[in-house]
Amino acid sequence: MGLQAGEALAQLDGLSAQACAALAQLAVPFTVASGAAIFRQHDPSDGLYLIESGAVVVTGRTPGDGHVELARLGPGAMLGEFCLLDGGRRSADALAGGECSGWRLDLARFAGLQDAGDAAALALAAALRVQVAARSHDLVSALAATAPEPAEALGLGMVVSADHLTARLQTFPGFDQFSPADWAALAAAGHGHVAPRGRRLDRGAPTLWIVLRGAVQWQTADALQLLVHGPGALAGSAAFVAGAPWPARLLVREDAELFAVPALPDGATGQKLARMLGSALVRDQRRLTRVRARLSAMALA
Amino acid sequence: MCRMLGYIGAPVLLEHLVVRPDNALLNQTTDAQLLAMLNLAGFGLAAWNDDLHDAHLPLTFHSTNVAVFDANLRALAARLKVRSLVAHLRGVPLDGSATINQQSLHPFQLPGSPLVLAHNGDLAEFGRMRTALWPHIKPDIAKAMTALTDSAFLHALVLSNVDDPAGPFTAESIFRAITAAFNTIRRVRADHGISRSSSVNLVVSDGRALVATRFTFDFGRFEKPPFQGGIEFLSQWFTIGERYGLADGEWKMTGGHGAGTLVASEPLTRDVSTWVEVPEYGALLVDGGDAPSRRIVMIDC
Repeated sequence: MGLQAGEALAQLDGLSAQACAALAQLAVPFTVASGAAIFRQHDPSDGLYLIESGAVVVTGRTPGDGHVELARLGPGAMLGEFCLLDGGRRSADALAGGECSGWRLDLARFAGLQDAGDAAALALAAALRVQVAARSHDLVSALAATAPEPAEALGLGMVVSADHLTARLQTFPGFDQFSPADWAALAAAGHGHVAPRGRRLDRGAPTLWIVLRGAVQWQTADALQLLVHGPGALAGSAAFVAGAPWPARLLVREDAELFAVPALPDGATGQKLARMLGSALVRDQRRLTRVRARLSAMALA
Repeated sequence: MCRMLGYIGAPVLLEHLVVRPDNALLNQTTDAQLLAMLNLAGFGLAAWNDDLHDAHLPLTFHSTNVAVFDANLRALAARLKVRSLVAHLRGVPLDGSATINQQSLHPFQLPGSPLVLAHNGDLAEFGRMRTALWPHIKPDIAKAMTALTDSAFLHALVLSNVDDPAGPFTAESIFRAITAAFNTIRRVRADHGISRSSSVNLVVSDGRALVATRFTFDFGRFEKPPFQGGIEFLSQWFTIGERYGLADGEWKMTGGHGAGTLVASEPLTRDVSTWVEVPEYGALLVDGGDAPSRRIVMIDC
């Protein structure tokens, strides 16, 4: 049983055999009768599910109380992985398409290991971030009819000081967990900029942008607004994690102060930022899903 | 900050919108889900029902009582069915700086005009803008104003930009007037060097057409905490369907893509599965009546 859970986890890129084996020891078996719910949208989350046998139909609810099928999953698939990154409620219904069994990686146990800096847990979180980023990329690709024209050179001034960075970030949720050593490590890992409205930020290698003031916006080539990020937000997180640009523009929407992080810093600071990154990825994915639901609802209305 | 909702659709008992759901407007007095603030400064509504005398004009109710304790409101809500509604729960800073009186309660309406406005947000440094805004308000409208708040001015500016305050209106004509009002405010802010984040989420309706905006001037341009209503773009959600009510143990719209529309600053249920967001910098335009229609437009301001 444990070995098979490890095999399912091994499908995630970047997860070593050792990490898979360690995590598989945490998995507990589950069985759900045909037609029963493994979980419902908005349920509190209890962990990541790995399917050994049977099928699962994943559906989302829509305005007007409709349902839209999002995926059909079979043996070897995983579902409910968002919760390991943000601890949030379920974002879809998962119904057993026949008797379904497999393993559940418990959220509370996983969170404890992650808090303790367990290497296997951190590796799984990193692998899940890549998976969620890929899913966001696919969704944006589906929403964007055409890729935008390439951006010109950034031309941003490096004018935001480390002290200013610290003073701003300390006021935002999540960053209040940072220690003086974290502030120093973060300041050394990137550069502060001011950027005027309209400036594009998606040139070159994807960068993680921390919004200190003002706002940035993801927009498709045909001007469909995907996401708006305000102060405290991590913008460009999915492209940053995937290492591949989105088929969309990242624009400064309001005159902004930004902190650009080209790569996560090492050590504890990097781990703290990575946790925030995981939550940001899930939050953005949920928002993109609602954009798609809105477009669908308006098209059919 | 405040909370509000708008509804156009099949007649529904008022308490099903403002009292009964787990996150009904009255419950948001002390326990709003998306706003960390108490909303204690009163309640107002404008309701349309075809059986009322002068049915094109709304029945209005305004009370400075703390809404969740307002027995008159609960008694009214238990008996009155509405086919259209704009309701508003007023929240103000708890530092004594705001005037609490009936005249300052939303939705704003002037005699003879069916067009009402509810506002969630505030215009930063409004005291500096007020004098410059007076010339943009038509004399008859200025004469009828009973409040001098930013929200009262927004209503007066919108009314000053429609052909005839007595109507008739379409969602398009209301939206044009809102856009004109926003452009006036944008110019006055620039003239006075005001660039602080200022939200103007509105629900504007004459009972037949409804426009809900989700817009913030200079979003994210905060000087320091506490941030206006949080650091997220103030939200505006909606759901659609044939009929709103209790079905399968849930308060929700049912009936697929019917003509009914319910918009609110936050979903009326903690489960947001069947709600989607009006996009930031966008507006939802709804025309009821014999040829119902609904669309999303972006605000060019």
